[in-house]
Amino acid sequence: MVQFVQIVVNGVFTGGVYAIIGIGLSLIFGVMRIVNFAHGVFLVVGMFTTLFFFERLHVDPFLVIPLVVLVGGLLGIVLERFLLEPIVRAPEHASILMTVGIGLVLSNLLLFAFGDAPQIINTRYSTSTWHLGPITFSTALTIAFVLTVVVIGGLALILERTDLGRSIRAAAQNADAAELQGINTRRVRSLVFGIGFALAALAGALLLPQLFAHPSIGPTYTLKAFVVTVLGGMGNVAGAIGGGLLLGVTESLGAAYVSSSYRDAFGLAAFLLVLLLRPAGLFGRSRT
Amino acid sequence: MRDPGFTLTLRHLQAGYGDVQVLWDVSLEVRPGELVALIGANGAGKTTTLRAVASLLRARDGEVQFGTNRLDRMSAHDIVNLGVAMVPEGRQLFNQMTVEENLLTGSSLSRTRPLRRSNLDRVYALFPLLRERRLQEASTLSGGEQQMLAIGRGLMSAPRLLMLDEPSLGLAPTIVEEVFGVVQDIRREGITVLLVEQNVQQALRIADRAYVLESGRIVLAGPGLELLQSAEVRRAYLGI
Repeated sequence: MVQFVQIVVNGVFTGGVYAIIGIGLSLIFGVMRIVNFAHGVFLVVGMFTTLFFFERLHVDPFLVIPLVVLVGGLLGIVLERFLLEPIVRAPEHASILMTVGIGLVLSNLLLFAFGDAPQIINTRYSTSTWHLGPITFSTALTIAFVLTVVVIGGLALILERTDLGRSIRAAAQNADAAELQGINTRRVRSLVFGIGFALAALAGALLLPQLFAHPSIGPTYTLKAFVVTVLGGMGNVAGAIGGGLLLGVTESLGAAYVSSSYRDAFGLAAFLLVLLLRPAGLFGRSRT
Repeated sequence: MRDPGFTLTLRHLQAGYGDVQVLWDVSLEVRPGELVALIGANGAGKTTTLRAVASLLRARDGEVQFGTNRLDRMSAHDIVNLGVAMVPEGRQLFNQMTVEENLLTGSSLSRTRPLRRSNLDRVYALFPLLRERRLQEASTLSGGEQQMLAIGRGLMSAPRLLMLDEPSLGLAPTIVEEVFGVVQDIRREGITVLLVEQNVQQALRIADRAYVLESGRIVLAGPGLELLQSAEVRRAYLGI
Protein backbone atom coordinates (compact mmCIF):
# COMPACT_ATOMS: atom_id res chain seq x y z
CA MET A 1 0.00 0.00 0.00
CA VAL A 2 2.77 2.37 0.96
CA GLN A 3 4.55 1.51 -2.26
CA PHE A 4 1.40 2.17 -4.28
CA VAL A 5 0.86 5.58 -2.66
CA GLN A 6 4.52 6.37 -3.24
CA ILE A 7 4.21 5.53 -6.94
CA VAL A 8 1.02 7.55 -7.36
CA VAL A 9 2.60 10.55 -5.61
CA ASN A 10 5.59 10.40 -7.95
CA GLY A 11 3.23 10.10 -10.89
CA VAL A 12 1.17 13.10 -9.80
CA PHE A 13 4.27 15.24 -9.32
CA THR A 14 5.66 14.37 -12.76
CA GLY A 15 2.18 14.66 -14.23
CA GLY A 16 1.93 18.25 -13.04
CA VAL A 17 4.95 19.11 -15.16
CA TYR A 18 3.42 17.22 -18.11
CA ALA A 19 0.29 19.33 -17.63
CA ILE A 20 2.37 22.49 -18.06
CA ILE A 21 3.71 21.18 -21.37
CA GLY A 22 0.23 20.16 -22.49
CA ILE A 23 -1.39 23.47 -21.54
CA GLY A 24 1.06 25.34 -23.76
CA LEU A 25 0.41 23.05 -26.71
CA SER A 26 -3.32 23.28 -26.09
CA LEU A 27 -3.33 27.09 -25.92
CA ILE A 28 -1.33 27.31 -29.14
CA PHE A 29 -3.68 24.90 -30.87
CA GLY A 30 -6.75 26.70 -29.54
CA VAL A 31 -5.74 30.17 -30.68
CA MET A 32 -3.55 29.51 -33.71
CA ARG A 33 -5.12 26.26 -34.99
CA ILE A 34 -1.65 24.82 -35.49
CA VAL A 35 -0.18 21.67 -34.02
CA ASN A 36 3.22 22.66 -32.73
CA PHE A 37 5.64 19.87 -33.62
CA ALA A 38 8.51 21.82 -32.05
CA HIS A 39 6.93 21.79 -28.58
CA GLY A 40 9.22 19.15 -27.07
CA VAL A 41 12.25 20.93 -28.47
CA PHE A 42 11.14 24.08 -26.63
CA LEU A 43 11.35 22.02 -23.45
CA VAL A 44 14.90 20.98 -24.36
CA VAL A 45 15.76 24.64 -25.03
CA GLY A 46 14.54 25.29 -21.47
CA MET A 47 16.82 22.53 -20.15
CA PHE A 48 19.92 23.87 -21.87
CA THR A 49 19.11 27.48 -21.00
CA THR A 50 18.91 26.34 -17.39
CA LEU A 51 22.23 24.50 -17.67
CA PHE A 52 23.81 27.51 -19.33
CA PHE A 53 22.72 29.99 -16.67
CA PHE A 54 23.43 27.63 -13.78
CA GLU A 55 26.61 25.80 -14.78
CA ARG A 56 28.35 28.44 -16.89
CA LEU A 57 27.15 31.74 -15.45
CA HIS A 58 26.56 30.42 -11.89
CA VAL A 59 23.26 32.24 -11.51
CA ASP A 60 21.38 31.41 -8.32
CA PRO A 61 18.94 28.51 -8.97
CA PHE A 62 15.96 30.55 -7.79
CA LEU A 63 16.80 33.26 -10.31
CA VAL A 64 17.42 30.80 -13.11
CA ILE A 65 13.78 29.77 -13.44
CA PRO A 66 12.34 33.25 -14.09
CA LEU A 67 15.19 33.87 -16.53
CA VAL A 68 14.44 30.64 -18.40
CA VAL A 69 10.76 31.55 -18.59
CA LEU A 70 11.65 34.99 -19.91
CA VAL A 71 14.05 33.63 -22.54
CA GLY A 72 11.44 31.09 -23.63
CA GLY A 73 8.72 33.70 -23.87
CA LEU A 74 10.84 36.06 -25.96
CA LEU A 75 12.01 33.28 -28.27
CA GLY A 76 8.40 32.20 -28.76
CA ILE A 77 7.24 35.72 -29.61
CA VAL A 78 10.10 36.24 -32.08
CA LEU A 79 9.58 32.84 -33.76
CA GLU A 80 5.86 33.50 -34.13
CA ARG A 81 6.33 37.01 -35.53
CA PHE A 82 8.91 36.10 -38.13
CA LEU A 83 8.17 32.49 -39.05
CA LEU A 84 4.55 31.67 -38.27
CA GLU A 85 2.71 34.96 -38.80
CA PRO A 86 3.67 35.12 -42.50
CA ILE A 87 1.95 31.77 -43.13
CA VAL A 88 -1.10 32.37 -40.96
CA ARG A 89 -3.49 32.13 -43.93
CA ALA A 90 -1.59 29.35 -45.70
CA PRO A 91 -2.95 25.77 -45.84
CA GLU A 92 -2.51 23.60 -42.77
CA HIS A 93 0.52 21.64 -43.98
CA ALA A 94 2.55 24.86 -44.14
CA SER A 95 2.42 25.26 -40.36
CA ILE A 96 3.24 21.57 -39.84
CA LEU A 97 6.35 21.87 -42.02
CA MET A 98 7.28 25.13 -40.34
CA THR A 99 7.06 23.84 -36.77
CA VAL A 100 8.86 20.60 -37.67
CA GLY A 101 11.55 22.77 -39.27
CA ILE A 102 11.80 25.07 -36.25
CA GLY A 103 12.27 21.99 -34.05
CA LEU A 104 15.01 20.56 -36.29
CA VAL A 105 16.92 23.82 -36.47
CA LEU A 106 16.65 24.46 -32.72
CA SER A 107 17.77 20.95 -31.71
CA ASN A 108 20.71 21.09 -34.10
CA LEU A 109 21.70 24.52 -32.81
CA LEU A 110 21.68 23.03 -29.30
CA LEU A 111 23.82 20.14 -30.51
CA PHE A 112 26.23 22.61 -32.06
CA ALA A 113 26.40 24.79 -28.95
CA PHE A 114 26.39 22.17 -26.18
CA GLY A 115 27.73 19.03 -27.83
CA ASP A 116 26.52 15.46 -27.96
CA ALA A 117 27.28 14.36 -24.39
CA PRO A 118 24.25 13.93 -22.10
CA GLN A 119 24.39 16.53 -19.35
CA ILE A 120 23.03 16.65 -15.84
CA ILE A 121 22.56 19.47 -13.41
CA ASN A 122 24.18 19.32 -9.99
CA THR A 123 22.27 21.13 -7.33
CA ARG A 124 22.01 20.49 -3.65
CA TYR A 125 18.44 19.35 -4.03
CA SER A 126 18.89 17.13 -7.12
CA THR A 127 19.21 14.00 -5.03
CA SER A 128 17.88 15.15 -1.66
CA THR A 129 14.57 13.88 -0.29
CA TRP A 130 12.12 14.54 2.51
CA HIS A 131 9.65 12.28 4.25
CA LEU A 132 6.02 12.34 5.25
CA GLY A 133 5.36 9.24 7.29
CA PRO A 134 6.48 6.29 5.17
CA ILE A 135 6.34 8.27 1.90
CA THR A 136 9.52 9.72 0.44
CA PHE A 137 9.43 12.87 -1.64
CA SER A 138 12.16 14.05 -3.98
CA THR A 139 12.94 17.66 -3.10
CA ALA A 140 13.44 18.59 -6.76
CA LEU A 141 10.08 17.11 -7.76
CA THR A 142 8.38 18.74 -4.78
CA ILE A 143 9.69 22.15 -5.79
CA ALA A 144 8.63 21.39 -9.35
CA PHE A 145 5.15 20.47 -8.21
CA VAL A 146 4.69 23.55 -6.05
CA LEU A 147 5.83 25.79 -8.91
CA THR A 148 3.53 23.90 -11.27
CA VAL A 149 0.53 24.55 -9.07
CA VAL A 150 1.43 28.23 -8.74
CA VAL A 151 2.01 28.68 -12.48
CA ILE A 152 -1.13 26.82 -13.55
CA GLY A 153 -3.17 28.70 -10.94
CA GLY A 154 -1.76 32.02 -12.11
CA LEU A 155 -2.41 31.17 -15.73
CA ALA A 156 -5.98 30.12 -14.96
CA LEU A 157 -6.55 33.44 -13.15
CA ILE A 158 -5.18 35.38 -16.12
CA LEU A 159 -7.33 33.43 -18.56
CA GLU A 160 -10.48 33.77 -16.48
CA ARG A 161 -10.24 37.23 -14.98
CA THR A 162 -8.23 39.61 -17.16
CA ASP A 163 -8.75 41.38 -20.46
CA LEU A 164 -5.73 39.55 -21.83
CA GLY A 165 -7.24 36.21 -20.85
CA ARG A 166 -10.63 37.07 -22.31
CA SER A 167 -8.88 38.22 -25.50
CA ILE A 168 -7.05 34.89 -25.73
CA ARG A 169 -10.24 32.90 -25.20
CA ALA A 170 -12.18 35.13 -27.62
CA ALA A 171 -9.51 34.74 -30.30
CA ALA A 172 -9.57 30.97 -29.78
CA GLN A 173 -13.35 30.74 -30.09
CA ASN A 174 -13.85 33.09 -33.04
CA ALA A 175 -10.95 35.10 -34.42
CA ASP A 176 -12.99 37.30 -36.78
CA ALA A 177 -15.48 38.17 -34.04
CA ALA A 178 -12.55 38.96 -31.74
CA GLU A 179 -11.13 41.41 -34.30
CA LEU A 180 -14.59 43.00 -34.49
CA GLN A 181 -14.40 43.64 -30.73
CA GLY A 182 -11.14 45.50 -31.24
CA ILE A 183 -8.91 42.63 -30.15
CA ASN A 184 -5.57 42.56 -31.95
CA THR A 185 -5.55 38.85 -32.76
CA ARG A 186 -2.10 39.10 -34.34
CA ARG A 187 -0.69 40.21 -31.02
CA VAL A 188 -2.69 37.54 -29.20
CA ARG A 189 -1.15 34.87 -31.47
CA SER A 190 2.40 36.08 -30.75
CA LEU A 191 1.71 36.23 -27.04
CA VAL A 192 0.16 32.78 -26.91
CA PHE A 193 3.08 31.24 -28.77
CA GLY A 194 5.39 33.03 -26.33
CA ILE A 195 3.42 31.69 -23.35
CA GLY A 196 3.52 28.17 -24.85
CA PHE A 197 7.29 28.32 -25.35
CA ALA A 198 7.80 29.79 -21.86
CA LEU A 199 5.72 27.01 -20.26
CA ALA A 200 7.61 24.30 -22.15
CA ALA A 201 10.94 25.89 -21.16
CA LEU A 202 9.78 26.01 -17.53
CA ALA A 203 8.86 22.33 -17.70
CA GLY A 204 12.35 21.62 -19.03
CA ALA A 205 13.95 23.47 -16.13
CA LEU A 206 11.72 21.63 -13.63
CA LEU A 207 12.40 18.16 -15.07
CA LEU A 208 16.13 18.75 -15.43
CA PRO A 209 17.20 17.51 -11.96
CA GLN A 210 15.81 14.04 -12.75
CA LEU A 211 16.93 13.63 -16.33
CA PHE A 212 19.87 13.68 -18.67
CA ALA A 213 19.61 16.63 -21.00
CA HIS A 214 20.38 15.84 -24.60
CA PRO A 215 19.53 17.89 -27.71
CA SER A 216 17.72 14.94 -29.30
CA ILE A 217 15.10 14.20 -26.63
CA GLY A 218 12.65 16.86 -27.90
CA PRO A 219 10.39 14.56 -29.96
CA THR A 220 9.73 12.32 -26.92
CA TYR A 221 8.29 15.33 -25.13
CA THR A 222 6.39 16.55 -28.19
CA LEU A 223 4.72 13.16 -28.13
CA LYS A 224 3.97 13.45 -24.42
CA ALA A 225 2.50 16.89 -24.98
CA PHE A 226 0.24 15.46 -27.72
CA VAL A 227 -0.87 12.67 -25.40
CA VAL A 228 -1.69 15.16 -22.64
CA THR A 229 -3.68 17.47 -24.91
CA VAL A 230 -5.54 14.70 -26.66
CA LEU A 231 -6.40 13.05 -23.34
CA GLY A 232 -7.73 16.38 -22.11
CA GLY A 233 -9.36 17.44 -25.38
CA MET A 234 -7.60 19.69 -27.89
CA GLY A 235 -7.84 23.36 -26.99
CA ASN A 236 -9.10 22.58 -23.49
CA VAL A 237 -6.79 24.00 -20.80
CA ALA A 238 -8.54 22.47 -17.80
CA GLY A 239 -8.54 19.12 -19.57
CA ALA A 240 -4.78 19.34 -20.08
CA ILE A 241 -4.32 19.35 -16.30
CA GLY A 242 -6.28 16.10 -16.03
CA GLY A 243 -4.46 14.68 -19.04
CA GLY A 244 -1.06 15.53 -17.56
CA LEU A 245 -1.85 13.93 -14.21
CA LEU A 246 -3.28 10.84 -15.89
CA LEU A 247 -0.19 10.44 -18.07
CA GLY A 248 2.16 10.92 -15.12
CA VAL A 249 0.36 8.36 -12.96
CA THR A 250 -0.03 5.84 -15.81
CA GLU A 251 3.67 6.01 -16.62
CA SER A 252 4.62 5.77 -13.00
CA LEU A 253 2.37 2.76 -12.28
CA GLY A 254 3.40 1.00 -15.48
CA ALA A 255 7.07 1.54 -14.83
CA ALA A 256 6.76 0.24 -11.26
CA TYR A 257 4.48 -2.76 -11.72
CA VAL A 258 5.25 -3.90 -15.27
CA SER A 259 8.55 -2.70 -16.64
CA SER A 260 10.43 0.56 -16.27
CA SER A 261 11.95 0.27 -19.73
CA TYR A 262 8.47 0.64 -21.22
CA ARG A 263 7.65 3.80 -19.21
CA ASP A 264 6.92 5.88 -22.32
CA ALA A 265 4.85 3.11 -23.90
CA PHE A 266 2.25 3.10 -21.10
CA GLY A 267 1.34 6.70 -21.80
CA LEU A 268 0.89 5.88 -25.48
CA ALA A 269 -1.24 2.84 -24.65
CA ALA A 270 -3.51 5.02 -22.48
CA PHE A 271 -3.62 7.50 -25.33
CA LEU A 272 -4.79 4.85 -27.83
CA LEU A 273 -7.41 3.59 -25.41
CA VAL A 274 -8.82 7.06 -24.89
CA LEU A 275 -8.85 7.75 -28.63
CA LEU A 276 -10.74 4.53 -29.22
CA LEU A 277 -13.31 5.08 -26.49
CA ARG A 278 -13.63 8.87 -26.28
CA PRO A 279 -12.30 10.52 -29.45
CA ALA A 280 -13.01 14.05 -28.17
CA GLY A 281 -10.74 13.44 -25.17
CA LEU A 282 -11.58 12.44 -21.62
CA PHE A 283 -12.72 15.93 -20.71
CA GLY A 284 -13.46 17.10 -24.23
CA ARG A 285 -16.78 18.30 -25.42
CA SER A 286 -17.79 18.30 -29.04
CA ARG A 287 -17.26 21.65 -30.69
CA THR A 288 -20.28 23.41 -32.05
CA MET B 1 -24.00 63.67 -29.37
CA ARG B 2 -23.85 64.10 -33.17
CA ASP B 3 -20.39 64.58 -34.50
CA PRO B 4 -20.50 66.23 -37.93
CA GLY B 5 -17.00 65.00 -38.77
CA PHE B 6 -17.61 61.28 -38.93
CA THR B 7 -19.22 60.43 -42.23
CA LEU B 8 -18.67 56.98 -43.68
CA THR B 9 -17.93 57.23 -47.38
CA LEU B 10 -17.41 54.34 -49.80
CA ARG B 11 -16.02 55.32 -53.18
CA HIS B 12 -15.99 52.86 -56.08
CA LEU B 13 -15.35 49.95 -53.76
CA GLN B 14 -14.38 46.63 -55.33
CA ALA B 15 -13.95 43.47 -53.30
CA GLY B 16 -14.29 39.71 -53.51
CA TYR B 17 -13.11 36.31 -52.40
CA GLY B 18 -10.42 34.48 -54.38
CA ASP B 19 -11.34 34.47 -58.06
CA VAL B 20 -14.84 35.71 -57.40
CA GLN B 21 -15.39 39.43 -57.43
CA VAL B 22 -18.47 40.35 -55.43
CA LEU B 23 -18.47 44.13 -55.29
CA TRP B 24 -17.94 45.88 -58.61
CA ASP B 25 -18.48 49.53 -57.88
CA VAL B 26 -20.09 50.43 -54.59
CA SER B 27 -20.30 54.06 -53.58
CA LEU B 28 -22.38 55.16 -50.67
CA GLU B 29 -22.43 57.56 -47.78
CA VAL B 30 -23.65 57.35 -44.20
CA ARG B 31 -23.77 60.70 -42.44
CA PRO B 32 -23.58 61.14 -38.67
CA GLY B 33 -26.85 60.39 -36.91
CA GLU B 34 -28.40 58.73 -39.93
CA LEU B 35 -29.99 55.30 -40.10
CA VAL B 36 -29.13 53.95 -43.51
CA ALA B 37 -30.34 50.61 -44.83
CA LEU B 38 -28.55 48.50 -47.40
CA ILE B 39 -30.93 46.07 -49.05
CA GLY B 40 -30.74 43.56 -51.84
CA ALA B 41 -31.17 39.91 -52.70
CA ASN B 42 -29.08 37.09 -51.29
CA GLY B 43 -25.59 37.20 -52.75
CA ALA B 44 -25.89 40.81 -53.89
CA GLY B 45 -22.88 41.76 -51.76
CA LYS B 46 -24.43 43.32 -48.65
CA THR B 47 -22.37 41.32 -46.16
CA THR B 48 -19.28 41.70 -48.32
CA THR B 49 -19.74 45.48 -48.21
CA LEU B 50 -19.85 45.48 -44.41
CA ARG B 51 -16.87 43.09 -44.19
CA ALA B 52 -14.87 45.36 -46.45
CA VAL B 53 -15.70 48.41 -44.32
CA ALA B 54 -14.68 46.49 -41.17
CA SER B 55 -11.47 45.35 -42.90
CA LEU B 56 -12.27 41.68 -42.37
CA LEU B 57 -11.86 41.65 -46.14
CA ARG B 58 -9.33 43.72 -48.07
CA ALA B 59 -10.79 46.03 -50.70
CA ARG B 60 -9.34 45.39 -54.17
CA ASP B 61 -9.90 48.91 -55.30
CA GLY B 62 -11.70 52.03 -54.20
CA GLU B 63 -11.76 53.81 -50.89
CA VAL B 64 -13.46 53.50 -47.53
CA GLN B 65 -13.27 56.63 -45.48
CA PHE B 66 -14.56 57.44 -42.01
CA GLY B 67 -14.17 61.10 -41.12
CA THR B 68 -10.62 61.80 -42.20
CA ASN B 69 -9.39 58.20 -41.79
CA ARG B 70 -8.90 55.73 -44.62
CA LEU B 71 -10.31 52.47 -43.25
CA ASP B 72 -9.21 50.36 -46.21
CA ARG B 73 -5.63 50.63 -45.01
CA MET B 74 -6.30 49.77 -41.38
CA SER B 75 -6.62 46.49 -39.51
CA ALA B 76 -10.02 45.43 -38.22
CA HIS B 77 -9.25 46.04 -34.54
CA ASP B 78 -7.98 49.58 -35.20
CA ILE B 79 -11.21 50.39 -37.00
CA VAL B 80 -13.15 49.42 -33.87
CA ASN B 81 -10.96 51.78 -31.89
CA LEU B 82 -11.95 54.58 -34.28
CA GLY B 83 -15.59 54.00 -33.39
CA VAL B 84 -16.85 51.75 -36.18
CA ALA B 85 -18.35 48.53 -34.79
CA MET B 86 -20.00 45.66 -36.58
CA VAL B 87 -22.51 43.10 -35.37
CA PRO B 88 -21.86 40.21 -37.76
CA GLU B 89 -24.42 37.99 -39.41
CA GLY B 90 -25.21 34.88 -37.41
CA ARG B 91 -24.21 36.65 -34.18
CA GLN B 92 -20.74 35.06 -33.92
CA LEU B 93 -20.80 35.11 -30.13
CA PHE B 94 -18.09 33.61 -27.97
CA ASN B 95 -20.29 30.65 -27.15
CA GLN B 96 -18.26 29.22 -24.30
CA MET B 97 -18.07 32.50 -22.44
CA THR B 98 -20.67 33.99 -20.16
CA VAL B 99 -22.95 36.79 -21.27
CA GLU B 100 -20.96 39.34 -19.29
CA GLU B 101 -17.61 38.06 -20.57
CA ASN B 102 -18.91 38.44 -24.11
CA LEU B 103 -19.80 42.04 -23.33
CA LEU B 104 -16.44 42.74 -21.69
CA THR B 105 -14.51 41.60 -24.77
CA GLY B 106 -16.08 44.53 -26.58
CA SER B 107 -14.55 47.07 -24.23
CA SER B 108 -10.89 46.16 -23.84
CA LEU B 109 -9.76 49.01 -26.07
CA SER B 110 -7.73 51.87 -24.68
CA ARG B 111 -10.49 54.29 -25.76
CA THR B 112 -13.37 52.43 -24.09
CA ARG B 113 -11.81 50.77 -21.07
CA PRO B 114 -12.43 53.74 -18.78
CA LEU B 115 -16.09 53.75 -19.84
CA ARG B 116 -16.52 50.01 -19.27
CA ARG B 117 -18.77 50.23 -16.21
CA SER B 118 -21.10 52.86 -17.66
CA ASN B 119 -21.25 51.10 -21.05
CA LEU B 120 -22.13 47.86 -19.30
CA ASP B 121 -24.92 49.61 -17.39
CA ARG B 122 -26.16 51.16 -20.61
CA VAL B 123 -26.31 47.81 -22.39
CA TYR B 124 -28.05 46.20 -19.42
CA ALA B 125 -30.55 49.07 -19.38
CA LEU B 126 -31.26 48.46 -23.05
CA PHE B 127 -31.49 44.68 -22.57
CA PRO B 128 -32.57 43.97 -18.95
CA LEU B 129 -32.72 40.27 -19.76
CA LEU B 130 -28.97 40.17 -20.36
CA ARG B 131 -28.39 41.40 -16.80
CA GLU B 132 -30.47 38.51 -15.47
CA ARG B 133 -28.48 36.07 -17.59
CA ARG B 134 -25.08 37.67 -17.10
CA LEU B 135 -23.42 34.57 -15.65
CA GLN B 136 -24.96 32.15 -18.13
CA GLU B 137 -22.94 30.76 -21.03
CA ALA B 138 -23.82 32.52 -24.29
CA SER B 139 -24.62 29.22 -26.00
CA THR B 140 -27.51 28.65 -23.59
CA LEU B 141 -29.41 31.76 -24.73
CA SER B 142 -32.33 31.64 -27.17
CA GLY B 143 -31.85 32.98 -30.69
CA GLY B 144 -33.42 36.33 -29.88
CA GLU B 145 -31.39 36.70 -26.69
CA GLN B 146 -28.22 35.84 -28.60
CA GLN B 147 -28.99 38.60 -31.09
CA MET B 148 -29.51 41.07 -28.23
CA LEU B 149 -26.16 39.97 -26.78
CA ALA B 150 -24.45 40.41 -30.15
CA ILE B 151 -25.86 43.94 -30.45
CA GLY B 152 -24.96 44.69 -26.83
CA ARG B 153 -21.41 43.46 -27.39
CA GLY B 154 -21.16 45.75 -30.41
CA LEU B 155 -22.29 48.70 -28.28
CA MET B 156 -19.65 48.02 -25.61
CA SER B 157 -16.99 49.64 -27.77
CA ALA B 158 -19.04 52.87 -27.65
CA PRO B 159 -19.24 53.13 -31.44
CA ARG B 160 -20.02 56.25 -33.43
CA LEU B 161 -21.21 54.02 -36.26
CA LEU B 162 -22.77 50.61 -35.73
CA MET B 163 -23.09 48.24 -38.68
CA LEU B 164 -25.72 45.55 -38.22
CA ASP B 165 -25.70 42.54 -40.54
CA GLU B 166 -29.09 40.82 -40.82
CA PRO B 167 -30.05 41.30 -37.16
CA SER B 168 -33.53 39.84 -37.67
CA LEU B 169 -32.46 36.74 -39.59
CA GLY B 170 -33.99 33.52 -38.30
CA LEU B 171 -35.92 35.12 -35.44
CA ALA B 172 -39.58 34.73 -34.53
CA PRO B 173 -41.84 37.58 -35.74
CA THR B 174 -42.36 39.10 -32.28
CA ILE B 175 -38.59 39.11 -31.68
CA VAL B 176 -38.07 40.70 -35.09
CA GLU B 177 -40.29 43.59 -33.95
CA GLU B 178 -38.20 43.90 -30.82
CA VAL B 179 -34.94 43.96 -32.79
CA PHE B 180 -36.20 46.75 -35.04
CA GLY B 181 -37.29 48.64 -31.93
CA VAL B 182 -33.80 48.29 -30.49
CA VAL B 183 -32.23 49.54 -33.74
CA GLN B 184 -34.36 52.67 -33.45
CA ASP B 185 -33.40 53.07 -29.77
CA ILE B 186 -29.74 52.91 -30.71
CA ARG B 187 -30.18 55.51 -33.37
CA ARG B 188 -32.06 57.74 -30.91
CA GLU B 189 -28.99 57.60 -28.65
CA GLY B 190 -27.11 59.36 -31.43
CA ILE B 191 -25.31 56.36 -32.85
CA THR B 192 -25.16 56.24 -36.63
CA VAL B 193 -26.53 52.97 -38.00
CA LEU B 194 -25.81 51.11 -41.23
CA LEU B 195 -28.33 48.30 -41.42
CA VAL B 196 -28.18 45.33 -43.76
CA GLU B 197 -31.52 43.53 -43.91
CA GLN B 198 -33.47 40.96 -45.86
CA ASN B 199 -36.61 42.19 -44.18
CA VAL B 200 -36.90 44.96 -46.77
CA GLN B 201 -40.23 46.40 -45.73
CA GLN B 202 -39.33 46.88 -42.07
CA ALA B 203 -35.87 48.17 -42.89
CA LEU B 204 -37.15 50.79 -45.34
CA ARG B 205 -39.80 51.90 -42.88
CA ILE B 206 -37.28 52.87 -40.20
CA ALA B 207 -34.42 54.01 -42.46
CA ASP B 208 -33.72 57.65 -43.26
CA ARG B 209 -32.17 56.58 -46.50
CA ALA B 210 -31.48 53.31 -48.24
CA TYR B 211 -29.37 51.84 -50.99
CA VAL B 212 -30.35 48.89 -53.13
CA LEU B 213 -27.51 46.55 -54.06
CA GLU B 214 -27.78 44.26 -57.06
CA SER B 215 -24.95 41.97 -58.24
CA GLY B 216 -22.34 44.07 -56.51
CA ARG B 217 -23.56 47.42 -57.77
CA ILE B 218 -25.75 50.12 -56.21
CA VAL B 219 -28.79 50.34 -58.46
CA LEU B 220 -31.11 52.56 -56.45
CA ALA B 221 -30.80 55.06 -53.62
CA GLY B 222 -33.15 57.37 -51.82
CA PRO B 223 -35.15 58.05 -48.66
CA GLY B 224 -36.50 54.86 -47.09
CA LEU B 225 -40.18 55.67 -47.42
CA GLU B 226 -39.70 56.79 -51.01
CA LEU B 227 -38.07 53.48 -51.94
CA LEU B 228 -40.86 51.66 -50.16
CA GLN B 229 -43.28 53.27 -52.64
CA SER B 230 -41.11 52.74 -55.71
CA ALA B 231 -42.46 50.30 -58.25
CA GLU B 232 -39.09 48.66 -58.74
CA VAL B 233 -38.52 47.86 -55.11
CA ARG B 234 -42.08 46.69 -54.62
CA ARG B 235 -41.82 44.33 -57.56
CA ALA B 236 -38.32 42.99 -56.88
CA TYR B 237 -38.27 42.74 -53.09
CA LEU B 238 -41.75 43.00 -51.71
CA GLY B 239 -43.53 40.88 -54.30
CA ILE B 240 -46.36 43.36 -54.81
